[in-house]
Amino acid sequence: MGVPAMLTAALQQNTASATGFDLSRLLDPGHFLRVAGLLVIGLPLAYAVSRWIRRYVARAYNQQKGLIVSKLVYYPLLGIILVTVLSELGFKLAPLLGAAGILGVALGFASQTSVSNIISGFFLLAEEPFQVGDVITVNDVTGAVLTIDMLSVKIRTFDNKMVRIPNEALVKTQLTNVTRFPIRRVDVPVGVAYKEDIGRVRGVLLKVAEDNPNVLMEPEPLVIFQGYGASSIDFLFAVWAKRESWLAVKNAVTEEVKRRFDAEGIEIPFPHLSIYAGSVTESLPIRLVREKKT
Amino acid sequence: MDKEARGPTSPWGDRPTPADGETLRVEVGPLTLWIKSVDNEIWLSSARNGGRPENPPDDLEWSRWALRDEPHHLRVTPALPDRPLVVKPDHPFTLTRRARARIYMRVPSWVRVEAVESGKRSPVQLAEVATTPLSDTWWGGFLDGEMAYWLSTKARRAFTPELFASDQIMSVLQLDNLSDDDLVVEKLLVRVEHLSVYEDEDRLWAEEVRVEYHGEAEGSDIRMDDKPPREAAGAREITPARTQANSFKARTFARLRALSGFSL
Repeated sequence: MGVPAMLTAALQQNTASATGFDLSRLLDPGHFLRVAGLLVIGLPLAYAVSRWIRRYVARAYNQQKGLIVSKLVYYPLLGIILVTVLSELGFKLAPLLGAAGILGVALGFASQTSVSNIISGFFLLAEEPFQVGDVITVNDVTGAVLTIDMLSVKIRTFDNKMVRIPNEALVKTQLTNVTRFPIRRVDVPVGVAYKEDIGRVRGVLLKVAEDNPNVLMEPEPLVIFQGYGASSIDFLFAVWAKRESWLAVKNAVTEEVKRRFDAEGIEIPFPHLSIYAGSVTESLPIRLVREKKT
Repeated sequence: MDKEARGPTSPWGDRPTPADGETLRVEVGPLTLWIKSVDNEIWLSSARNGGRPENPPDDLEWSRWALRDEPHHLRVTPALPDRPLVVKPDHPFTLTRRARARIYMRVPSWVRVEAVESGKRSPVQLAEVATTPLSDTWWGGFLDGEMAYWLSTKARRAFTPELFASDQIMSVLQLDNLSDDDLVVEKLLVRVEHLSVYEDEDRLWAEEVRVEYHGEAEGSDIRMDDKPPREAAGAREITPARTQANSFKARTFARLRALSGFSL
């Protein structure tokens, strides 16, 4: 036996004696069956139990609570199976736990971000600022929540991109849940020419709301004076709609306002550009041209 | 249901399934329904205020149903809306303390079309179409309210024969103010999904709803009698309630200012 081989054997012997690990125990049919049973039956069983609990709690309460409770059940079960398997293999848990402590400190330093994300994930699940399926806006990203995972939340944007947002970022950042409540307000900014009768404009706008069956009668539609703008008198036309019909109502109301204003002869002005011929005191020369009659 | 037992203009009752190539037309108030059979399917379409053309316009959109068996006949029945109604009298009225009032209001009917297959199977509901679509509205707070339909009504204290039409269901509310305060009735919620529809000589009635108001804090007790109102004692039920409930306690009255678009 060479020197390296002797060193390896001695190291294995020391490690084995320190942890109690004995590979030969696997050759014993009793131990082998127990380890195999734990791995082959225990692991899938733990997974199945956690899934069943997730479904049950989700049905009874909501998906969020289902996720929390299933994770609280799954990980301890996983730990119990792991410890039992190690114990079957002859591991002495005391030195292992000591080593795990040292390893934990080392891993902790190395995985601060991940741990922070895991803890933030539990905060998110407990606080429930959103649920799976809600539409949220984080920074400049808006989309539907696909999953709330250990490290991140995954959302699907409306142009079908998947965006992964770390849990820690969600806890720190301002987040808007667009679909939390069953009704939403549709804001349509409207500007009319200075010559228009404000009362008439208000009447036409409220009629647009009244004639659309998807616009809620209550909370009642509002026409709010916003100010005298550079080119127009500005209003905010605000109507309420069911969360599901928000986009349809926004489109329908915007189109109908334009159509009614055109029909009623109400002018929607736009910024005008005045062109000067080099001097503010002289007007632009205009030459009138008449077409020849044929 | 026997079509012959009704007046000749009544749109309700059973009709033979149209043969291939034929179109059945049903008119209920401003609504016209067209039903036809195409290759063992039932096709259905509707239009409102279209001038009652004999044949369906070319640009209509059709819904199609493939049924298990060829239907023996089709059943057309009236139905009340599928959500509660927020009823707003044109002119709010005040019910003084310990006073009672009987209110009559007309609710636009929905038309339910069912295919009745041979054998003992339950009819298959094909469609429900509102004769007059009602606007959506919200009842309650921003966080705990519910969707409803909006109905403006004259809230009459008496009814005349002219008020009845094939597309209108007369609903009777008996309001009792049992509190020591005046009750200003500006809006009230009627849970029509708990009401059945009755027919009496081509007149449609909903069962009577009795509302007992006990005060702002105590709320109201609401009772349904499961029988037609006394004005139509001989009427027979033709459409059962969507959901059964004989009595419950609920918030029924609201002031107009209760929910502003800029409330927090």
